Amino acid sequence: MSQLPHDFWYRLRVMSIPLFILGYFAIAALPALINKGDETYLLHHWFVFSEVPSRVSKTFEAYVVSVEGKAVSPALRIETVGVLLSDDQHPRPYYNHVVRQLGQLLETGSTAAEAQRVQLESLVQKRPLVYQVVRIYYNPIDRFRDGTVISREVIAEYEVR
Amino acid sequence: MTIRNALRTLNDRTLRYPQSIERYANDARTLEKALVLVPCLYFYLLFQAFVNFAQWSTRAPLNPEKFQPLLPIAWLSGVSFENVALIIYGTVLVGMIIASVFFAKRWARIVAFLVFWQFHTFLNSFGQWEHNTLVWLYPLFFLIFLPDVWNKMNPTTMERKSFLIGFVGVQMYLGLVYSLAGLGKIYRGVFQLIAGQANFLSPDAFALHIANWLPTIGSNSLLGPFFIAHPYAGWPLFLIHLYFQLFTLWAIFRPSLHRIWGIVLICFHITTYLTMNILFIDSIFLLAVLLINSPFERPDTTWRERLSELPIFGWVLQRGARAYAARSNT
Repeated sequence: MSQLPHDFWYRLRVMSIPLFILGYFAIAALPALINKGDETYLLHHWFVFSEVPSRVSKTFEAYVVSVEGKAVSPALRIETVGVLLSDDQHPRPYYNHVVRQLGQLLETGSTAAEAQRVQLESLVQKRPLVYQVVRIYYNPIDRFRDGTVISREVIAEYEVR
Repeated sequence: MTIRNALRTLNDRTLRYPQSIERYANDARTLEKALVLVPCLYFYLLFQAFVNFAQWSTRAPLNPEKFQPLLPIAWLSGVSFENVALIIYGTVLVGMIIASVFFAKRWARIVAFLVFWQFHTFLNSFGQWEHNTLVWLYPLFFLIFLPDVWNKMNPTTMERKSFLIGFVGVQMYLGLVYSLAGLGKIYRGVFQLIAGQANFLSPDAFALHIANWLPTIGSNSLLGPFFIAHPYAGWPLFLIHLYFQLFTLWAIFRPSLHRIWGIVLICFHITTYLTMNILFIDSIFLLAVLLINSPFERPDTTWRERLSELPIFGWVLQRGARAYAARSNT
């Protein structure tokens, strides 16, 4: 190997840079551009925040309507009424993620929704409460400014005993 | 014209690679600076490794319930989570101490890569991707292939060129990351534009990103509410960041642009932190070391030279200057 001239190794180094760029693009980025695929370990496509959120965005949220038989009026988001387990164990974005997944499964009528509901309730303190899963259409800017939403619809109601 | 000739012509007119790097081979300052910057990367990782180790010993920042070890750390599958973390955090600390002392030796750079790869894999074994450490992984791999010229009094021209090309390889990965991020925004944005949705050209694009992201992470930011209240204020920032992101790879091959790109991209990271609470500390360090302090950046470069190298705008400026000169002569 060391018998090869220095020039050979240098040319190999020079060529490896464009080849790496093209290879990485072909393997990691191109499939993701075509199929909107998820990122793969070591082959991240880095397409972060590539889509601008729609002015009519959709989300799912969980609202508590009663705790230990006492009505909560108006209904409050589940993370604001102190029924969740510690944020140290499960950070706030994780709760949001679980609720959004539950909403999507309920919307499509998937049988996996039940398992997702159990997962959500495993994150909640064992206190009798009733909560609703709500589908919300909103403009992110309007909602951030003053809480205005376009529409709000209850798609499921559950009781934790 | 063969494809090879076409590519060569295209390269000569745009990137001018590797000539744009080779012209620095006999410049002592360039090599000296590159020789100093490489160990700085290991020193920073040693600092980070100790911070991580200290934090691990005082509190548990990771959730053991979600731990699903990926293949490269599967050899630790029989070990308790606490011991896995101790082994990973401990080995990366020891590995970076070794690399900080023996960075001139290839075996030490291999050790640094292997322990960091294990560390990166560990952080990715919790069900979500860790981009902060990923920006280091490929650069650490490329650093392995640098020729060992630190202890040589008079390295040959070929060794100098090889070292500088290797250094460009590290810069190139950073450029690739940002360019892919920019490309993704443009590509998806075109589809959104055709569909009549909000897209990267919309004046409220930045405000929509902030207003959508902050509630998702259940957080607020210092400047986020301002840009949501005044969407037009964020429009130029968004377009500037998009331009710089997309052309980072181009800028890597234009040394006179390194400093501008480093400064703007660091400002971009500061802005995303102030508006969206997204923190990319390691990227800021890499940009500062590899671009702002790039060994290829000449102190005597004029602003006119820098501007003329800008993608798209540089070409327009050059054409404009030529047209103006021709008109003045007639």
